[in-house]
Formats: sequence, structure tokens, C-alpha cells
Amino acid sequence: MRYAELHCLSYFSFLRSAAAPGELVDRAVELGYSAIALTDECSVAGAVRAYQAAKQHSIKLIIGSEFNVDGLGKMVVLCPTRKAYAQLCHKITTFRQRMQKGSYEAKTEDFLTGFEECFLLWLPAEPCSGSYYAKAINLGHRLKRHWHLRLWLLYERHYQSDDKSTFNFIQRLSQQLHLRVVAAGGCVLHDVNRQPLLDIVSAIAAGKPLSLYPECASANAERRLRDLSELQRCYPQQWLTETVTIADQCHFSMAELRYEYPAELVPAGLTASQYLRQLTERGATKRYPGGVPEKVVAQYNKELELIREQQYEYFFLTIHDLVCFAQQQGILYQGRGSAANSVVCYCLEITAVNPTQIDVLFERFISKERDEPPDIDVDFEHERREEIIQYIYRKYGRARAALAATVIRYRFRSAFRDVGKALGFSEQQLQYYRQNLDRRDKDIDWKQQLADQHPKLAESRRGQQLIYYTEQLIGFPRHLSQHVGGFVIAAGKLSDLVPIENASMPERTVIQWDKDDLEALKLLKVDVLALGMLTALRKTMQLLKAQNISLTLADIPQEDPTVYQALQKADSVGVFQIESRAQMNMLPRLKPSTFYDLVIQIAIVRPGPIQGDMVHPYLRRRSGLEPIDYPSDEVKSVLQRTLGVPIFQEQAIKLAMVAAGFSGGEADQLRRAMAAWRSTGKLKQFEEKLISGMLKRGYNEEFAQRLFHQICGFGQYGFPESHSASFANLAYASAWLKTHYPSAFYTGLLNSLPMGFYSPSQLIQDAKRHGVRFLPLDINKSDWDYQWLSDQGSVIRLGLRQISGLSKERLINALQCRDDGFSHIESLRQAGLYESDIEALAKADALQSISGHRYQASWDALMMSDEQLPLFSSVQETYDKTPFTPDEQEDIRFDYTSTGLSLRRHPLALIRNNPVLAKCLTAEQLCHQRSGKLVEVIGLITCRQRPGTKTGVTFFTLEDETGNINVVIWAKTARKFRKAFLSSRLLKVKGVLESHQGVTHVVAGHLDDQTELLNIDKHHERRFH
Amino acid sequence: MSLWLYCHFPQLLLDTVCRIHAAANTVPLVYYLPADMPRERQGKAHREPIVQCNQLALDAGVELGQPQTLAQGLVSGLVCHRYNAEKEAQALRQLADGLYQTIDKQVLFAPKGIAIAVDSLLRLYQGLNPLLCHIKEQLQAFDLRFYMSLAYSPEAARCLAQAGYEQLSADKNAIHDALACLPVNTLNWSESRVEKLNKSGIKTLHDLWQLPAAQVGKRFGLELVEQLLTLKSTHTAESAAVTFYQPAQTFSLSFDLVTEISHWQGLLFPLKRALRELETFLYQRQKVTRLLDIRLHHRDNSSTRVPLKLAVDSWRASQFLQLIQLQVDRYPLRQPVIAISLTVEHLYELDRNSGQLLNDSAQHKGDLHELLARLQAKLGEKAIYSPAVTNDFRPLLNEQKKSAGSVTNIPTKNVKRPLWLLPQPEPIDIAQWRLIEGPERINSGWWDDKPMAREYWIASDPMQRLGWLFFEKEWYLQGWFS
Repeated sequence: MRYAELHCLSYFSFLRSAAAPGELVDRAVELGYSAIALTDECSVAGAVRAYQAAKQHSIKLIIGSEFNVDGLGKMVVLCPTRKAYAQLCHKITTFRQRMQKGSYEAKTEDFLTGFEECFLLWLPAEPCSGSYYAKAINLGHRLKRHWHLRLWLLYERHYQSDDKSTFNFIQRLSQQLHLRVVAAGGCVLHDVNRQPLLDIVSAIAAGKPLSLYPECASANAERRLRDLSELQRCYPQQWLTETVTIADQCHFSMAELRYEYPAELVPAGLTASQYLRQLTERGATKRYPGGVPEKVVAQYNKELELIREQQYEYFFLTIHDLVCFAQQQGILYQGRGSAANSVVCYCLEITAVNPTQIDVLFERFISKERDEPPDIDVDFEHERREEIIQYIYRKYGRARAALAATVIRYRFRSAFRDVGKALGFSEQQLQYYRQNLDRRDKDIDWKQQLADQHPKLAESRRGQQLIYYTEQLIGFPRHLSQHVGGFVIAAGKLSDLVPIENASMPERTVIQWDKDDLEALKLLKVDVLALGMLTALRKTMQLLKAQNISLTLADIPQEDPTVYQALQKADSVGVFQIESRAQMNMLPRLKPSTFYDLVIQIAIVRPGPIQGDMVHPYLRRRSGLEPIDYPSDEVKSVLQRTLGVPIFQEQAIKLAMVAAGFSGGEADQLRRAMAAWRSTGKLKQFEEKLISGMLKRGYNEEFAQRLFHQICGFGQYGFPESHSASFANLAYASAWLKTHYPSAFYTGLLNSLPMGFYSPSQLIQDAKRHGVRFLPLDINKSDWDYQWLSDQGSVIRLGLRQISGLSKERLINALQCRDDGFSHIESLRQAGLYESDIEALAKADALQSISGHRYQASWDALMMSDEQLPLFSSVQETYDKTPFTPDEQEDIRFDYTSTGLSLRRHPLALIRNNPVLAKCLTAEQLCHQRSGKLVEVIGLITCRQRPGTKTGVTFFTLEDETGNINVVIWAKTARKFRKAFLSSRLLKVKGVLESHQGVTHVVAGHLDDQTELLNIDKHHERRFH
Repeated sequence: MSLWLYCHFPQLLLDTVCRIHAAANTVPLVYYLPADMPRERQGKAHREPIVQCNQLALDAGVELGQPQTLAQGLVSGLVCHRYNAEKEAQALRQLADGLYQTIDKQVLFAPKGIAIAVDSLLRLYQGLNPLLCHIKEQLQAFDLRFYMSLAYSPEAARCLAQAGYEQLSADKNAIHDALACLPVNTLNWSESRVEKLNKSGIKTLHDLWQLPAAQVGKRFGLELVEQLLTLKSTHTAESAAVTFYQPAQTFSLSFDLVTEISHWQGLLFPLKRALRELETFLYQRQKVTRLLDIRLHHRDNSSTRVPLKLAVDSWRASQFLQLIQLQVDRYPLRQPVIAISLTVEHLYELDRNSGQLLNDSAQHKGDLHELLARLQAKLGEKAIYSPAVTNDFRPLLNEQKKSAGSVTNIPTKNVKRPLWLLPQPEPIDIAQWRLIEGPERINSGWWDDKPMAREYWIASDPMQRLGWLFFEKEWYLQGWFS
């Protein structure tokens, strides 16, 4: 017998099904079905995954969708042709866009037009009700007028008490309307064992616990894919045969979807290929004004040929168009991603990384073998990315451009909560069970921790169900969200290709596919991302331009030794990517002296290389303490640039190819497995193949094991060389600006916050150490932004943006009325500031020039305006003097609470004479001590960091009036001084000074909470990243 | 001029629990303000701050105001309870009841304070000092931490006591000086007002008093000016009407247990203490009762009700306890207990005519709930049920007995079910039957201990009666359709 299942929902019909699209397809193959239709509710979000699964087998996949329509019933629409598919996508788009994110609305009228080539299987709304019959006849006639012979009545039997009456109803209807009947399963399960999970997701959808609301559960497991003999018992033969008749008429395959590029980018008379070549050549002359080197010409010729073969011209042209717009608008950007470091991208000014500086093999990213679209992400200034997005919408229209989706899936926390509620646990109980689980603990998984902490729970039936089904639910999709910046742009209507729905952000629309789906269908997406450092750099360069120093990222002098000298001393606060504490520890050891060293520096301080134990071998080899050897010439060719140690992700892949004989395709699978191994454990299956492959080629066991270990370490944390190179470019640019124009650089940076690793207070202290002087806030002198007072040299005036609780819009408007300065509080009111704004200014001590000290300013600001003062109207209109004046400590405290920083003395300087601090060394003094010495230090904790890669150690950064002190705290010490460790803000540490290769830190032996000495309320601190 | 004594109990809830449940002193115990509660005056404080903690917790490094999560990180085995102002207010009322025997002029400032009008008591106690000694003794008997302060208005006394100031002099200057030192953030004022005062450099009441009232008024409003005057004044304003406390006519006590208790034996000790409080309550009022309502609260917000019905009126804890001990078997504990509440609503005069349970028609007739309650008291709660229908697919589970008077769900699924279900399925000879419709497959209930997988048929017997059958090794009749 042949059978086609024409009505299946996957878990992309959120909370209605417990089966993945692939699971449904695989099970249908097992059962010997000849076709299966995936008909998620008003969605094709699972279609690509089903298509990928079906590709592995000979089963036919039909794409369709189910709609629930009031009064009409369930409508299952199938797509026999490409046109029908486009019609379906249009309809889904219409239904979805009527409603807010996540819902849709379909009406009876919608099914009377617009589905010219689709098939419709109709399951009437109330087949058991006699009174509905007449209505159904009427509806049937109306539907027939539009659908003609493309309409069937649908009968689904799930062994319930009303089966017989439904059967009779459908049969009568079929006779009277002359409609054929087709059988289907309405499947939401691929396997009977998933029934409990189905009940749980149904209970989650209903928001009710199963035990009290058993009606949320399924009556039985008949909504599964059933075997053929079971189906024969269930349905009349004719109705089963009809399934195949329908399936045989369906010819549409997802493989037919062809992406057509926006054609308007190419001028008339030219092909895309010719135009791209023209642009590249024009760019090359611009990039190499002294004449384009032969090598570069040869390289771009090769690349252009490759692009032509793969027909990716429009992709490059689209991105070129975006960056041209950015250039015109003066928005800073930088391309990155696998294809970005090509000569073509360099010539098209998509990236500023000179590909001759690094050796990235372009073929590796666009190759016939990989057969997938190239990847270029473009970062734009974070404050101005919206302009680019609006440009895309303007240029291509909302019908042609939309964001890719991101599938938000259940993770532990959400799964535990939702499963728990479905099983009848209360929110408080779940919170109680969950609160002490350490999800970072890699040694003991959460199930074990839960069993240890709550043995009674783990023994109880309900507790076991909670644990088991939580684990099952993890990974199920919850809803679609928008991708951070991946745009899909089409030549025609995008909704011919994929439905578009509303995102939660107003004015944003997303398609129903995520980046994996797009990749599988070879559709191109353009990543428009946001990067704070670009904003900072643009602002810095703008300040320099005002001083007639005209700079672009490309003109920054390369390989400036003064820049590297600073970096070698770990002077990198504020520098892109290499400012974190871990990076700072590495800088004096790696001692970067060339651009490529920076590329390595960025890639090496990553969990991948650290876990794969690549850092120390590299450093030893670099300083000549260990010989550099290669087991073979092939390996040498891959690893030579990194001294025989794999540091970049692609080196690991390449090694698998040259040393273990992986084909390009296999290596690509390995790459995907690496990206996902933590969640799927797929990497293990490559272990055997890798190791035996290497042994066969004469490598020894140890080398083979080490390489596999290193590949595992890369996991999702490895950095591809091309990304690292793009980041290194920005790191170098920011370091260069910091070295040569610190005032401009810090002004740009402070005006681009929040971003990066450090608080304004920390940045300002670092700037002061570089000779920059800061002037306090003053309503009559400060602007919203920080200002570089270049006429006074290295002087920066604080920006009012630093004050919390101040309205930006009102303040900027008010500053326009400043003219000769504000002379009294009333003039601030007249300029449109609210009381809350004026009080915030007073508290921040920004009204000095009007009122004097901050207490007086507040006193004046609090004075009610006339209309608020009916009772005191007789009081004279002059401002009174307050008898109170702030002392230094009070000033500092208010500075911190209001702006998070103070230009007065550091709080530590105030208490330096306290006997508690008698033996404490300052950060500055610490540098001059010998390693191994027992020292005492004290400082404000500005950063608590517990790296995921090293267990049992926490890094604290203490700040005093002279600088930062790094403290290493081992788990044992942390436990012993638990309170100080967890809750202290001012910490005194006794410990051993360790100083090696310019890296200094104190290994703590004794912690002492001295927070009492402080009287400061607000103080920025980063906790446990 | 009237003198007021204010008693502030900073840890009333915790102290009450410790008094009733001695085990509370053997573990580090804290109360925290749960995130889902309104946080008056908490403002920018930490999330879920600790608001009360016992000595063991303090010794282990817990501090008031610390976030609960941090405290848990600091102290292993820390017992954390949610703070509940209503529970604390209940403890306050109980305390007021206790004092009422000797101190009648009390004004309650729930949940943590009592103000006492001293003047009328001075003669009775022959002076201020004997009176203060008496009150101290009374409070000490309750084993509470407290601060007492005297002033010439309840508000002023309250400010002093709440700031932890023991100001026990009736001297106007002393009171004034003590008040003047109070920081503005201890005066129960709104956070925004305190913030504004601090921003202007005003830190204490003294600072405020030294400013001209008009200038204060222009900045902080008339209300503050009036409050300042009240605090400064040595006269209770005529308009400041106070409501003196009237003792409650019903008894109600609830308290958290320090650790979860999952057996009756462990509950008896705290219950004994609670019953002793009830005894004192009844004794002081010369009342008796017959009906006690005990509720045992579980972690999932459910509770087990243990109604106690005595055959005769009583006020003695020992009698109540005896009855509990007799009844424990009837109420097995399915889940651990985390809190107990004890309520007595019906109090009778000590000398009333103790009647029989059901013949007191004039007093008890009519009300169904009253009848149900009395039947339950007599027969045990589990002996009385109402019928109810649920939406469970499983037969027998869809028609349940629900405890009497509970709310019934209206079934929404349209499924064919026989009107009459047999209490036990009966085996039948299928040869006598004709299958008409089916099967209906029921495969459900994996989540509880009654999962079911069966196929049901509708069939007719030789007498044309429609039966509901299923097959499980042999054929059974489950029920009859009408």
C-alpha cells in the first residue's frame, strides 16, 4: 500500500507538537510512506530542515501550512508548484502582518481568492454538530467556486468517542458537495514515546498544570505517524489512495527556490561580472596609488574568476553599495568574515585590512567544494547602524528586504521553569530548587547537582519527571526572534520566497528562516552589525579633523614601533579587543611587534586555544625556549606562520585535511561539528577518523591525540584568522590613536560609552596617567558630550552625559539657550529643563557657576517656582544662603553617586593615613618590589572575574589612587574568606607578589573586608564574567 | 501635655517564631523581603534584602540589608524565610493583647511598634520609673528585642525608638536634644524626601530645625513643616486623634517553622507553645471554645486543614493537645510542613450552658456551611464530599468526589460518557453483546500514579441496553448509557 501523510505539524508550530521536522521525515521514511507534507501552523519555519532531512532519502516532501479559521475549521494548504508556494508565502505574510509578533489572523474570505495553484484540504469546524451541517454546505459551495478540483474534505481519526459521527458528517458532506475525501493523521508526534512531552508543551501553551487540568493532555497517542497496517484498519481504502493521488500531483521542491539578486545595482549595458571588475580595478588604483603590484592584480583576477563561477557578484555589489552609502554619510564601518579579507573586498573598500599583510586563502571561503555562500559581516558604528538599516528599507522597500530570524530555543532555565509549572510545581518551589545550581560547574551537571541538593525531589516521581522532561524540552524552539543584523534582500518580492512576519520591534519585519536555513538554501544574507569601537574611532577622527589632522582608518601609519612599545607594556586600556585583563596579561609575554602578532594576540586569548593548551607552547617557541618542529612538510605548510601551534580555527580544519586525509566536504562537516559540538557532541564521531587517518599517514599517536584535543578546544570558541585580522586592524588603529592623540582618543571613547570593558572612571584615571587633564562639569561650559579643549593642550571637559537622571533631549535643547551663560536657576527652568534635571545637575555639582557649591545649588534648585507656591507667595523672591557646605568626603560621595566618577582625590587617598593601611603598598610601589615578596595591598574592587576556562580561580582588580592591582584568589582562599570575597567593596589583601615578564599580580593568602572605611555609595564594578 | 512611650520591635516576626519554636535558635535564620512584595522605602537597596536575622546568622557574617542570595552564599544551611508584614502585624496584635491586662492605652503602629499613653498610668504605677520597669518586665517575658523611648507625641517617641534610641527621660530638653541628633533617614520619610534633604546637606533633624520654616516649606512642602512642628512640640495637638487598641475577639496565630517538618511528632512541640498562647488568650478573656482550626502550610502553597472539635467547651492547652494527639492518624502528612496557623473564631463565655452538638437549633440552624463544618468536625473532614466532574479522559477519574463545598470545574470537552458508571467494572460475556461504536482509545495519565491504556466500546446487550465496555484480558462492563 502507498500512503502520503498530508497533515503534519512540527515543533515550529510552537507548543503544538513534540517532533522536529527532521524526526517526522525520518520516521515517515521508516514507515514506508511515499510522501510527507510539513504543514506547520501559518508557517514554513521548519520547511528547510524538513527539506534537508528529506534530501537524504527518496521520500517526497510537500510544503504546506495549516490555518485555523473561525467558523470554517482547519485549512491545510499544500503547494504542488513553485507558484503555489509563492501564493502560500504571500498569504502567510498577510495573515501574520495583521497581528503582532507571534500570532496571525485568517478569515473565511481569505480562502476565496489568491490561492490559484494551491491544494486545500478542509476539516470543517464542528463535524459533530448537526446544526453546523447547513452552514458547512454553504461554506463548501463557496470554497468550491475558488478551489474547484483542488479542494478535498479532510478526515482524521484519532480514536475518540466522536469518530463515528465525524465520519458520517464528512461522508454526507462529500456526497452532497461532490467533494473527494482524503485521510490524514494530523500528526504532531513522530513517535509514541513523545506523548508526555506533547502533553507538557500543551500544558505550557495553556499555562495550566496537567494534574489540575488533565484536559490539556492528549487523550491518546494517535496523533503520531502510524504504520501502514494501522492506517488500513483506520480509514477506507479509497481515502488512503487519495493521499497518494494528491502527493503525485505535487512537484514543488525547495531546491527550486532560486535567489534572484537585486538587479538595480548594475548599470545598463554591463553584466554584473563586468561591473564588479570595473569597480575592483578602479578601487585598486585608489588603494595602490603608486601602481597596483602584479601580485595583487593576479590575486584579484583569480578571485573575480571564482566569484564569477559561483555567481556571487551581486553579493559583493550589494555590500559595496551599503559601504558606499556609509562613506557618503561619514559612517565608519569595517567588513569581516571569511570572504572579507579578499583583495576584491579591500579594493571595494569593504575592509581596510590589507590582504598582503596576512595570508588568508580566499579559495577556502568561496569554493566550489564548499558550495555555500560567502560570509561577509559589516560592522558599522553602533550609534548609526540604524541609518544603514533605514537605507536598505528605503532602497529596496519593505517588500524586498527583511531581517533573518533567530530561533529562540528552550535552555535549561526556561525549560526547567515551564516543565515544572506544567507538572504542578509552584514558581517558588522551582526557584528554591534552582537557586543553588551552578550552571558554570562543568564537572557536575545540573541533574547531579539537583539530586545532591534535593535528594527527596530526585527520588520522587514528579521530581524525576521534572528532570527527564526538562532535558527533553531543552532545544525545542520557543519563538522566532530577529537576527542581530542579517538582511535578506531579494530582486522581486521577498514574500515569493519566504513569509515575512512582524518582529517585536516596531517597523521591523523578519522572515521565517534563520541563518542555517538560508545557508542550506544558498540564499545570501548581508550582515549589518553594530560595533561601538567604530563610533569611538569616528568621533576621535572627527575631533582630529577639526584640528586639521585628516585621517581615515586606511591612512593610519602602519607598523609604528611606538604603538607596539606601549602594547608590550600592557598599556591597552580602551584599545579594542586587547583591553581585557586576560589580554593585558598576555601582552607583555607575547610582546607583539608586528600587525600579524596582534592577529595572533587576539586569537590566542580565547577559551579555544587556552583549553586546547596552545598558549604556552606558542609563547615558549616564540621566545626560543622550545624548538619549532613539524612532523611533516604538509603540517609545516599549515602551521608555519604560528610556529607549529594551531591558533586559528581554519588551521585545525586544514590540518585535518593534510594530516588525516579529510576531503574538503568532510573537513567542512568537521567545521560545523566544531561550531556545535558543545550542544550536540557530534565532534566525537570524528575522533576515530581523525586519529586513524593520521596514524595511517605516519603521524604518531601522541601528535594525533593532541591535535584532536586541540580541535575540541576550539569548539565554538575558536577564532578564524580572518576575523582576528579585522579585529586586529581596529585594535591597531585604536592603539595608534591612543598613543599619538590621547586626548582626542579618550574624548571619542568617553562619548561612545557604554561599550568595552571599562567604566568612565577607570578610563579617566588611565587618561590622567597619560597626561590628560580633566575639567569638572559646569552647566555654563560643559556640553552633553565630553569636549577636547585642544587650545589648552591635553585637556578634556567632562560631558553632562555622565550625570544620571538627566534628560538628553531637554538638556541639548536647553544648551541652545545658553548664549552668555545661565546666571540663575530660573533661567534653567526657562530653558525648558525640568525640576528633576536641575536637581540632577545640582547633585552632580554642575551648577557651580550659578550657585556655588552643590548644597547651595540643590537648595536653590529645590526652591519651588511661583505657581507651585500658593501658600508661600508672600515670601520674598531672593535665594537664601544655606548654612551647610560639603566637605571633601561628601563631595566625593556625591560625585560617585551622581556621575560614577570623581575628579577630586581618589577615595583611597582620603584614607591612606588610616592605621589599617599602614603596611599597604600602592599599585605604583608594587611595581618596584621583587617577585616572591609578601605584600599587603588595598583597593576598591573594580572587577571580579571568574574565567570559564580555569576552574577554581578568581581574578580581582583592585584600584587605588595610583593604579590597578591584579589579585589572584584560589578557591581555597575564597572559601576561607568567603564574606570578604563575596561582599567586600574595599578589600585588603595579604599575599605573595608574583612578577614575571612584566606581568605583576598578588596571589592572595588573606582577605580582609574594609568596606567600612568607605562612605561611597556608587562605585562601578564588574562581577564574574 | 501628654507623655508617650513608644516600644519598637525591630525583629518582631523573628523573635515571635523563636519564642514558639525553640529550634529557631539553633540554626542561622533570616527573613528577607521577597522581590514580589511592594518595597516601601527599600528603593535602591539590594534585591531581596535581609530584614531580620538571628544571632547565629549574624555571627556567621550575615548583615541586615544584604541581598538574600549573598547571605546564602555566605552561610551554608542558612534558613531563609520570606518576610510577611501581615504575619508580623498579627504578632503585634497578640503582643498588645498580652499587655492589655495592665496597659490599656495602647496605639498600634503595625507591624513593629506600640505607643503607650503614659499619663493615665502614672498614678496607678506610682511614677514613671516603676511604670517603665513594669513594661520592660512584661516585654521581657515575651522574649523580644525592643527599643523604648519617651516623648511628647507618639510620632516623636516613635522616631527615637525606631532609630534605636533609648530615651527614657521625661525632660523636655533631653527629648529635644535626642530628637535633634536623629539622622533624617531614620524618620520614616519617603525616600525622595530624604534624598532631597541629603543633597542639600541636611543630615539631621537639628539641621532642619535650624532653618526658617518658610524656607523649608518653599522647598519641601507644608507637610514637612507640620511634621517638624509636631516633633518639636511638647503638646499633643488636639486634632491628632488616636485610636486606642481594642483586644481582638478572635484568636489567630501563624508562624513559620524553622525547618521543614514531615512528621506529626515534630509538629507537636511548636503546637504546644501555640496552644499555650491560646490558653493565655482565653484565660485573660475568660472565654472558652470548642472549635479550633489548625492549618499546616506546605511549600507549594497548599495546606492541610486540621479542624479540632471538642466535645465540651475548654480553654486548656492540655486538652487541646490531647485531642490533637488523638486525631493525628486521621491527617497523615503527605508533604513537609513549613508553617502553622491556628485560628479560633468562636469564643463563648466561660459559664455558658454547654449544649449538645446538634440540638442547639436556635444558634446554629440553616447555614449549610456551618452544618458541613460541624459534620466535618464530628466525622473527620475526609468523610464528607460533594460530587464533581473534571475533564480527565480517564473514566472514574473524571467523576470525582471533591471535598465538600469546593469549587467545581465545568467540563469543556465533548466526550460520550455513560451516565451511570459502575463502582467496579464487571466481567461480561462478550458473546451476549453487539459492538456498536468504537473503539475510543484512552492512553493518558502518565503524570500521576493512575496511568491508563484502554479501548472502550459502546455495545448493546440482548435487552438493547447500551453499555460501555473495555477489554483487558477479558471483557468488562464499565457503565450504562441512559
